[in-house]
Amino acid sequence: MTLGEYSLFLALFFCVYAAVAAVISVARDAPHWLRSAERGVIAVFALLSMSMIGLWAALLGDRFDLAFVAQISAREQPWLFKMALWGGQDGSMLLWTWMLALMSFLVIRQNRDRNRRLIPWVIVSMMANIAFFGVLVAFVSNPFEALPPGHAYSSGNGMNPLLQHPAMLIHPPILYVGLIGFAVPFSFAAAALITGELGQNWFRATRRWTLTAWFFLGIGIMLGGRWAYEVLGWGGYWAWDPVENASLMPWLAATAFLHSVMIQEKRGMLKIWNVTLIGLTYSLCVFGTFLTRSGVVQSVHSFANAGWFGTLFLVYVGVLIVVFAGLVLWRLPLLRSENKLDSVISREASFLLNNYAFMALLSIIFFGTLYPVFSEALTGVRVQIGPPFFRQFAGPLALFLLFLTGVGPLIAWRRATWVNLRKSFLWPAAFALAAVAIAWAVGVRRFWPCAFFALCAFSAATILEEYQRGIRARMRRGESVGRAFLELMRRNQRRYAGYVVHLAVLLMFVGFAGAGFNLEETKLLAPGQVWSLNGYDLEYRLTRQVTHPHYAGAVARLALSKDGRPVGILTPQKRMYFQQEQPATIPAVSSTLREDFYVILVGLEEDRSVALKVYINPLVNWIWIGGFVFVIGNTLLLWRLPERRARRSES
Amino acid sequence: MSATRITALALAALLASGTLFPSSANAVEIRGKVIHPTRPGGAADIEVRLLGLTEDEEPIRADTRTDGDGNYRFEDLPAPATYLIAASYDGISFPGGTLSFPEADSPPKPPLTFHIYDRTADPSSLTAPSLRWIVEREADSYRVAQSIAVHNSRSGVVVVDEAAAPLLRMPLAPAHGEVRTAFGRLPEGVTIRDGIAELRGPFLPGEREIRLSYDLPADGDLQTVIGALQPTATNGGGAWELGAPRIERLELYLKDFGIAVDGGDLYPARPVRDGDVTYLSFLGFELEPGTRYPIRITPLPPSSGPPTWASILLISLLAGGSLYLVGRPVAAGSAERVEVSEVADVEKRALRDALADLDFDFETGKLSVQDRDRLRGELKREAVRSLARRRRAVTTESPAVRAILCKCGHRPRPGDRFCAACGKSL
Repeated sequence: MTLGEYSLFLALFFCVYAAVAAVISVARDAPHWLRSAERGVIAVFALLSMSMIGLWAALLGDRFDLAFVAQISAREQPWLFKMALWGGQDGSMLLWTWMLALMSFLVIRQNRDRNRRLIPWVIVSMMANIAFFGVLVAFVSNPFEALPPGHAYSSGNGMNPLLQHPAMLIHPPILYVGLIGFAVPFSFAAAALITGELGQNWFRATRRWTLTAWFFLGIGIMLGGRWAYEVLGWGGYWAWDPVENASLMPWLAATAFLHSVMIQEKRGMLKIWNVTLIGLTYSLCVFGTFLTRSGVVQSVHSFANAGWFGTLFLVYVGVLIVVFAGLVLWRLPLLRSENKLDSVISREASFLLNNYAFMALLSIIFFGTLYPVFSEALTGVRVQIGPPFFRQFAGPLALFLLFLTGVGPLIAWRRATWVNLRKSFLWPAAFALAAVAIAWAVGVRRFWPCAFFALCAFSAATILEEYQRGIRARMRRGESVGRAFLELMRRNQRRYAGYVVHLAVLLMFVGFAGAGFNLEETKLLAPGQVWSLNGYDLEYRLTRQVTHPHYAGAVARLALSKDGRPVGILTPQKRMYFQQEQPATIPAVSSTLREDFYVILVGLEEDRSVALKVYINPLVNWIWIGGFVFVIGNTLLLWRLPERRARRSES
Repeated sequence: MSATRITALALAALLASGTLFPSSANAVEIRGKVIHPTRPGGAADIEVRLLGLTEDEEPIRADTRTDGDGNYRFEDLPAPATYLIAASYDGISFPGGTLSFPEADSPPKPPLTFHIYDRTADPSSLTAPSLRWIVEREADSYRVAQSIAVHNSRSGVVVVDEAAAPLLRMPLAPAHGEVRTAFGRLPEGVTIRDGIAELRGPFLPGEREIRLSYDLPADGDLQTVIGALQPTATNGGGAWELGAPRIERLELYLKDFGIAVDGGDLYPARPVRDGDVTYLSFLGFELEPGTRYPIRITPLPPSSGPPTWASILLISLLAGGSLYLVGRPVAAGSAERVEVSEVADVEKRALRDALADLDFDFETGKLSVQDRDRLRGELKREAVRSLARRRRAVTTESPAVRAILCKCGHRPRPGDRFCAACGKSL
């Protein structure tokens, strides 16, 4: 047994201890037991950290006598990729457990003097989560398991070459922070339900946790899309694959929660809905992990692992849902709304509609993702649902959400008047019409792209109008434009940083709308031959062999010019990785704000002619720009500005 | 009865028994044709040999000669049995194939047709599709299995006399032990001279694999292994130097015995498992004659973690430290500081934020004066109610108040406004 494994078992022991001590503290009203439970959480974190260090040491020290190290590492692998223990199932589960422990530790640190009635139950909930994953790591998916004598390797298989990409170094941990981060608001919600303290405390205490988890999950999803676009060589960034959907579903539920919780905060309404949403979000996080790792649904990038692993996970998801639903039912009398909706023309009404749309979208994705399982259970035939199904429903709902993104900010809380609405919507409506006119002028004739562009323009105009009105209001106090803008951001940080996030989403939608004009062509080219396509001229010059210690392949040299002007040399590759016996297609992309010229080398003939596949993807760069703005917006949201305290004292 | 008469009667009875009581084994027939593809009539009067083995492992041998068209026939062969047919032509044996009769009443087999060829000494049609080395470490030796596949693309047999220069040379490892071969004989056309296997044929059209196994002394010095992997006597340490012809595929399998192998230009392939044994494998393709392929083998430190005593010490420290950490508050049994429930504070903060938002909505033109005043009035009334609740909370014993402790750890009585122990305001 290794040191890391010892630490893991010790951590499990202290995990159970911390939960029991927390319950005793409540039962006996004994704060010293609570302090002991909190220290138990610290011990769990320290021991799991030791376990992580043990695994990293084994990876860096080339301990190929351990099955996991032999599976994902190789002697010649760069050390950064050796550290990426999330490249395999066992390591990623340990990372997951450690992250839960880290978050528990941070929660304990943050709440030393706060939320004391909630904390014992938060500890119980977090420790229950850690115990489940800890048991999985220790008994089912143990990264410290040694190979039988005589089975040890001098080197390992090495990480899947497709995963050896910079985005993959950060994508899984970022995604995990997102998925695991929701355990904190979930635990606070459970604690609030158990204690009956169902006011604003639980979600105010976890607002930053929720936002952080949502932010990281969003970034993780986007990085995954970027990696797929750059590495997988199929010309797209989102395939509605079950694993992709598994991360999108909790993100959608969390987005709905972030909006609806504002109604509870401002009006004391939707209490049942909010606790249900946070329960749903975390359950979807765990369920998504189950989908990814159980092999229940077929996916291009899942860790298929049937048997005990999947069964335990399913039981855990079931217990999670049943216990949480039971708590909600038990506390229904305390979850009654304090107020009623004053008017249908109010911001809370628009948020409510936004929640309906998110839930509809979530239900469709859930149904589509699990349809193969349902169909097999009912008819015995496994029927897979492809992207057209998702697009058919997601498109209209996305349009509706875009519309609400524009409408929401312009409506006041509680009640707005038609006169004010007419005044507010004048400019945005004009922007939308102008966008349609421009789209028509450049040749866009289809309804859906036109509608997307119009609503993007409409929503962008409302955001700009909000900034303009806010600045004008501040300027009436005698501030200059610049000062007014800064003060606006400082004193209304959540609202205006939130608008930056909305702007990011609009930019992404511009990119998504561009997908309606994607072009895809395949052609066989002889050396020297020129392929004219959509204003581009692609000249195939030569193909040469690529040799590398770990792969061999071919690279084609292609000269690209647009409207007669040279753009650059593109070098798509086809590789075969020897050790993994895995082929890979490395695309070459010429990227502009207008469109991407994306080419892959499909095949090489004996006469040295090449089969090329070209994708022309309009506006795709706006998705990545949107992602960048998303990071800025969320950073603004999460940055703790001292001025917010100033605003409170002022008010 | 005279002895002559008795003998005559016995002979008659013996002859009669052959017809009256036939043998229990059936007689089968093998027939076929020998073809010489490049010389018409070349297959006439060729010697065809048959080697067979019955179920009782009784050997059967028979010879015949082909007719003018190359046809041959073996009759009255016992069954069940398995037969190997070969033709002998120009001093070379041409395998015709194997026929098996598993039952006594096995149905007749179709004619067995095969080719014979003229011999040639021109090696230009020879290629080496693969060269394979499998190196394993045994208790006191390295076991090497070395094989080469030779492909002849010509419609003729490439072969030279023993006196002539060999067609191919496959150097063995220096200091190799006795070469182990099937039936104690080297494969046909193979001689070993000065540590080099000389291959003189015959190489019939198609592919022939020649496999040689031998042991090397393993004195623990890995240089011995490196030396052992030198295919020629002329190259430097740890390099393969390939002689003609071009090797289309080179496969090197090294039993994993705690070594790191740098295959140079060879491609590291997925480790191969055969039962309990793991082989590090390397592949090379289209390897040109005369090129040197350096291979570096270095010993590895044993793959293991820290010593057991260090692990036990460290884990004991961890366990002890953790137990002390969590046990201390319980052992001390001290009451610790727990702050006032924040419910009322949160309510206050929410109302304050709602008022600020209301004013801001009015300032940005989203609310009329009437709506602002009405909503502000509602919020103020809500604030008054909240303040009243807050006051009640600190003067009555509610579940929230029960949790209140002074910072000094003293539990105040209901209604106390100051701590009885330290005097601080509650």
